[in-house]
Amino acid sequence: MAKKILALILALVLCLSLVACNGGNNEGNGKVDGEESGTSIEENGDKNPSGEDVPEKSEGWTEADATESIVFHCSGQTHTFSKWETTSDTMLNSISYLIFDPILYKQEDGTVIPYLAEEYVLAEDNLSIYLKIREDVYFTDGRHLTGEDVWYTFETLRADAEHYPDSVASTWRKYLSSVELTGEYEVTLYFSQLMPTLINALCANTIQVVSKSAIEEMGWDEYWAAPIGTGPYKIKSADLTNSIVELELRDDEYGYWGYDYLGEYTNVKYITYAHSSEATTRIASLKTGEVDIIDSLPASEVEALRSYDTISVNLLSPTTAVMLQFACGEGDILENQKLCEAISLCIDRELIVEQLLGGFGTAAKGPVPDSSFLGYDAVAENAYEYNLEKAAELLEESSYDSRELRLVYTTSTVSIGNELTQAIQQMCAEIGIKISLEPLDTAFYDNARADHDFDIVLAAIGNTSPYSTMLNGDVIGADKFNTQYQNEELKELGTQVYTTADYDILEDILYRMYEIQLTEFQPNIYLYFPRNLYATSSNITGVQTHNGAALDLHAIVVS
Amino acid sequence: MIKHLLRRLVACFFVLIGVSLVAFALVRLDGSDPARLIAGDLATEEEIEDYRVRMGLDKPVIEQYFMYIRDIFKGNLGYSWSFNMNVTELFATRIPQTLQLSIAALIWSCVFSIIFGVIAGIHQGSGIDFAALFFAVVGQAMSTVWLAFMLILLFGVKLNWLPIQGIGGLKHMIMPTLCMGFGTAASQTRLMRSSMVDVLREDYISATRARGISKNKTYFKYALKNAILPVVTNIGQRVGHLIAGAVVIENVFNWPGMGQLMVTAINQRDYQLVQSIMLVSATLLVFCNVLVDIVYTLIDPRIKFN
Repeated sequence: MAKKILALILALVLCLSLVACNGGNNEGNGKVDGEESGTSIEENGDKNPSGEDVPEKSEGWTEADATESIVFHCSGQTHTFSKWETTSDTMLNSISYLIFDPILYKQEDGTVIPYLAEEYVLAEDNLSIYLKIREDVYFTDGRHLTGEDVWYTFETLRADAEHYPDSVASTWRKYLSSVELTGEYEVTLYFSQLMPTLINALCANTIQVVSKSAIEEMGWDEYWAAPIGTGPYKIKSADLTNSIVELELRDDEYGYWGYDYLGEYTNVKYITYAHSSEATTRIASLKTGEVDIIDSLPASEVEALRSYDTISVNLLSPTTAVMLQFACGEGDILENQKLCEAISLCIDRELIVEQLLGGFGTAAKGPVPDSSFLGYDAVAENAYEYNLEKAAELLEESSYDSRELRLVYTTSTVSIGNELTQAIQQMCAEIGIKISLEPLDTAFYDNARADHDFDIVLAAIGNTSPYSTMLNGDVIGADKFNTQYQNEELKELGTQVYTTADYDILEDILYRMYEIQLTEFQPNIYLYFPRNLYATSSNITGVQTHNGAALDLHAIVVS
Repeated sequence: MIKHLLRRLVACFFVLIGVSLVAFALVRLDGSDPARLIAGDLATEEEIEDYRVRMGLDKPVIEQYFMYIRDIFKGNLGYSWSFNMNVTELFATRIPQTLQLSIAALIWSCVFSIIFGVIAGIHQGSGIDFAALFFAVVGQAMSTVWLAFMLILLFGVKLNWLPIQGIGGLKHMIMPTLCMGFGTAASQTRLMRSSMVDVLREDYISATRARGISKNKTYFKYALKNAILPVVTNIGQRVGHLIAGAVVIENVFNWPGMGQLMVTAINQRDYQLVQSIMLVSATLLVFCNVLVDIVYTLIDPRIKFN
């Protein structure tokens, strides 16, 4: 009897495990875009809607017509609404698009159109910009937006170190010298030095135009607990300790001016943002319909989602460059350029993208992913190759003494860091280069770079702008990650990136910078440009992205 | 009793001072720089130094510790730089959520294991005894993470009976509570069963039965009282396991409690937050053990609270 019961229990447990482990449901049989069944993978570059076209805006549509609710689970979490009080995260980036409006607006094709500023004039010397603010914009509490609000926003950014510390606001503070209110709806920004990223920065959601009078009435802390912006949504509830934010489409008498201006609309009344750290949990919630949108979808999960025709997987344009940085200062083993080149030649980048990223990425031919980046010609002419024979020859010429090279990395920077470094280790071993792997926690990883305590670092850096100022100016020009490379020309060129806004001059600078890196293989060799993925219920359209990063849900439509 | 209790509480106070010292030292021993981490990849040395000053990390370590202790006595557990808010304020929302989960897990695991263990002990060698032993072995060997994902796939994705994540009503609590208490229920079932088997072999049980007292009365009035003592001891120890288990469970089920907070705090090198979480967890553990000792004396008056 006992044995029978035991056998029964065992059988039950096995059945439960098998049922639970048995992949997804197989409801989806319809073919979509050449896929066998179910989930399609959609390209979603800047401002492209996900999935099908957004249904037409009906005549006489108003915000009051919106009735739907959606839930967005993000991998990031936010504990403040102010972009200048914290380092950026995906949740706040997305929320910011709904609460606030940018000064200018960058369209899909990259052209900049007026937005909160209906007119802007950049001075010939690029050291000031005049902004004429729209007169028909209202905050969600009914206050009228004036030039004073825009002036106050920039003035706070320029001078209020109490609320916006220098360490966070430096991207503006080191350039912006004064802000002048020149009329009721006119503001002029003056700069002490050229700010190459100015136009991009004015298009970004980081400029959160606040209501001066509301802050004065409510006080700083109370205002930022539930900020009032000019955007399409207002905050319904916010639990910032738990990163749960509920937004409601504004229903005041003015409505959101931007819908008419851009010819867009939404039928979503409520959007709930919540943090969910586990990718498996986020995906499971999307499958059950508990959640409508999730971000940071691991590439390894895409295959499992193919059988779900209720889910749409979307690709974001590449925003990050994953690279190896060499410690190539005087006395470093990787000071030897031939050794650096040998390492580059024995890495099969295509294989890495195919096998480790499931194809969701672009194998690097050089420092930038595509021809839209300035200086790309240098990449086209000197692209990386995979050539083991040549690598072995170079290794012999380099007089490499078989010393182990320390490759430090952290999985919080490159999520597939373990697999990637193991692949690199094996590829290098094929020609006799020994690499020891050192996985580090982020804090130690940062310390190792600051102390120049590495031979090779696996790094990732945001590379979203054609200007590439962050990569070329900070990382290379200022040698931020302490590789101690010795090419003085490269250093000089890196600093020049910040001194010109002239595209022709910049093109020449970047061409030469890429050329030096591609021929010297120092201080960086680039591996790939990953494509981030997000997934939505397939009945959702109109998700927009800006610079391939945060999801902008202001014109989302649920069908 | 009261004198002993006070003496014990004073001892607890010194234990907690020790814990605060260890927690303070541990988070600093790793040698990482939280200011660099908070300031971000591209921050200059000046910007990192600015953060260091704002975070109070420029002061000597001894001074930092005494400032920390002084603030604790004022009821201020410090400031979390990764959350941009007071730690006390954070704990006010997170502790109740973890307690809610832990207490529910403790209750179901205790009730289930005591009933199951007693029945298995009484019917030694029977099918139910085998089932209890099987449950005890499997439950202790099973990975909590595996169990959590299996429950999610089965009850969330396949059957769509229960919500997968987040806080909400009673339904949201079922899966995390089940997972959290599973290991405890298994270990206590084994303990309760073996303790019951041992007690039932005692002479006084035979003597009680010989006096004509009914089986049920013998088991539940005379045997259970003695058999339950090791289980009570185990409950005190399991509180620590539950707090540790919350780290995994809360992350998988996206339950915003202390466990989830701990992971964020460690990843962000949020010194104040990590050391305060350790201190609060130790406080909970210490007081649960005191509580267990008090319960001991109530169950068996022969044992003195000392």
